[in-house]
Amino acid sequence: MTLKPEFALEIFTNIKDNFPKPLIDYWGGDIICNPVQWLLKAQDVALKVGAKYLCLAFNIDENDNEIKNSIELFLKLQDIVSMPLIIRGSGLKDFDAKFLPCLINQIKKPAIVAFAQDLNYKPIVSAVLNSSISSDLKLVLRAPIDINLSKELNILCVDYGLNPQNIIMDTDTGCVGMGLDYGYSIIERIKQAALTDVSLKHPVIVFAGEESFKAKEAKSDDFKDTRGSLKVRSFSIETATATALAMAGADIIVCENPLTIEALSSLFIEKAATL
Amino acid sequence: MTNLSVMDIFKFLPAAKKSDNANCGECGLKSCMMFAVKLSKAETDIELCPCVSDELREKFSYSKKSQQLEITLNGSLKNLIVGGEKVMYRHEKTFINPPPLLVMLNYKDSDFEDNLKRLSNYRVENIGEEFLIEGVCLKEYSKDAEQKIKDFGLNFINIDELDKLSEIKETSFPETISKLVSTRKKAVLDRDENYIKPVYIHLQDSEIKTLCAKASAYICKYASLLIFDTFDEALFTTLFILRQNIFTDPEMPLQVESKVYEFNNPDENSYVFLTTNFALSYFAVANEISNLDKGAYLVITPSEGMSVLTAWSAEKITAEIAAKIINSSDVLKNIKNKRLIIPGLLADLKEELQVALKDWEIVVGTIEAYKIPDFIKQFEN
Repeated sequence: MTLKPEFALEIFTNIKDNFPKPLIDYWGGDIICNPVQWLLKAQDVALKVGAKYLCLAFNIDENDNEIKNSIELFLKLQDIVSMPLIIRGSGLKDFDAKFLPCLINQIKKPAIVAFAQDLNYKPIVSAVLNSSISSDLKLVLRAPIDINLSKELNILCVDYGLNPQNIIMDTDTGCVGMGLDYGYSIIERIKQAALTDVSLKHPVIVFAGEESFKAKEAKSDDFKDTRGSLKVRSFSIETATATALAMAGADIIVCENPLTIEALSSLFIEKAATL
Repeated sequence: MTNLSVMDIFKFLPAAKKSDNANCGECGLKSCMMFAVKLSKAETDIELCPCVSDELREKFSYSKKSQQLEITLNGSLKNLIVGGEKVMYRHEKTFINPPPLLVMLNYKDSDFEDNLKRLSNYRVENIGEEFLIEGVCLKEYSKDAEQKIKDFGLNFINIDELDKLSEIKETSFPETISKLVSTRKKAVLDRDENYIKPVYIHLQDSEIKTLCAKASAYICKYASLLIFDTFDEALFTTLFILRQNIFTDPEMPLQVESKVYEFNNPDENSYVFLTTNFALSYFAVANEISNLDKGAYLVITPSEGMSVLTAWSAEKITAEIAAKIINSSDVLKNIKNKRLIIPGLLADLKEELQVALKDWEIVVGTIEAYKIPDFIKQFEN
């Protein structure tokens, strides 16, 4: 098995109250409040640090008005982006069942859509199948930290008509110190099982940034000196998480801090590592 | 010694195959079974059996070879045990010896003593494990410097001790990883005696960014010890936690201690949450409530590391168990507005809890932890 992960830099359409300070410091408070500007800047940064994708997360609340606004915003952003996109919904099952199909209808360039889950895969898969660029849309299927649930969701979606070639798996991972051990081993097991089991033979995507910035350690100053500076702590939590998942065999690694991608992508720049 | 079981051996012998030479006695023992017993303890010679197959001979000689060696490095305060690994993947069997992280210092550097001070002050606890710097080496030896290291209460490791291991020198990252992986394979799968020494890496980078990525990778795949020229509290804490994750027993649910945890300096007006001691349940809830802009208590029940629903159906979380830990807590006695927020999955336990905890108002919270912030917002309105 060879390791040659691809990286995605994640940005958000909404800045919530507890948005991590290290990321505000990196981007600047003005830029992140303006999705168009942030996207343009992020695109430059992504290319510079070695990311292949830009991940656009619609981290919106459960509110039907947000659907309309988000679609308008997406149309604007789609026109100005030149990198391949990973387009991410709210993660809320009921809401994404309505929101993601609307969004998928508007996608005009090859992209990865995240994510369908056990209770909402039907409308989302249908939207992918009905898209005018159906064969160029990959769909991320997320199941919660369990290899069997992942496998089941893959099979259900294929039965529902999704082309297996277009499946990307997200096993949900946890970050370092917050259950990473589970996510790490599931990916290792999937990669081994995939040698003989076609229902697991799909690329694995991990949202290392999402997981890492859930941890208070990655965004709060409220720790003793022995835990070091927030800047290094925050960076190292995401980097250790992303690196470990890369070592387990993850194929696409989504990070929020460009410095993480810079550190990791430079390691793989020449060639793949053999496991 | 061999790690073949009696039955592993017996099935290759004539008696098991019901062939003509069954229990022939040529080996000097009464039956093939007895021969298998003796052979499994290496108390007889395999060649005494006239019917031994090449397959058994091969299995037997393989089983006698050792896998990665377990090596003790002597330290001034504490010896370090490294290596001894037997598998490639942690889901096969728990990894054995977490790689120590050593710091190498140069006593000629002007900040030598400052560094020693930082190293000796470093101490972090995470789910029941205390992290501290496991050893300090000197780039060049000096008796005075060794004494200084000891004076700071640090574990001095003489650099010669590292000769007991083999070093993998860093080249390009993919090459280094490939070398680490192939060495581990040769040690634990092929049992190739040229590769059974545990390996260490002396990280060459000084920049935290690269150091963090590389060290994380080496901890996962498969260094038995790491040496750093640079120290940073935040970096080491993260690496120690990663190491703890990778070396934890994958079959035992990771548990946190059952007690009342405090977040954001809670006081007598703070919320009180409850969940089980399954580490993932704890982390999910702790993450959310530590991000609230107010103090909170989290009561963790002793539920054998089971998640909420499993613990409930196995009766490892009952009104009695919850009441016991809540009533024995001094800090919770001072709470003015006694409201206990229980997981949504425990809604069925509400009545019983209400009976067991008469002073408390039992509030059924959310099923999923990520909804806690919204729940609290609504709760306050």
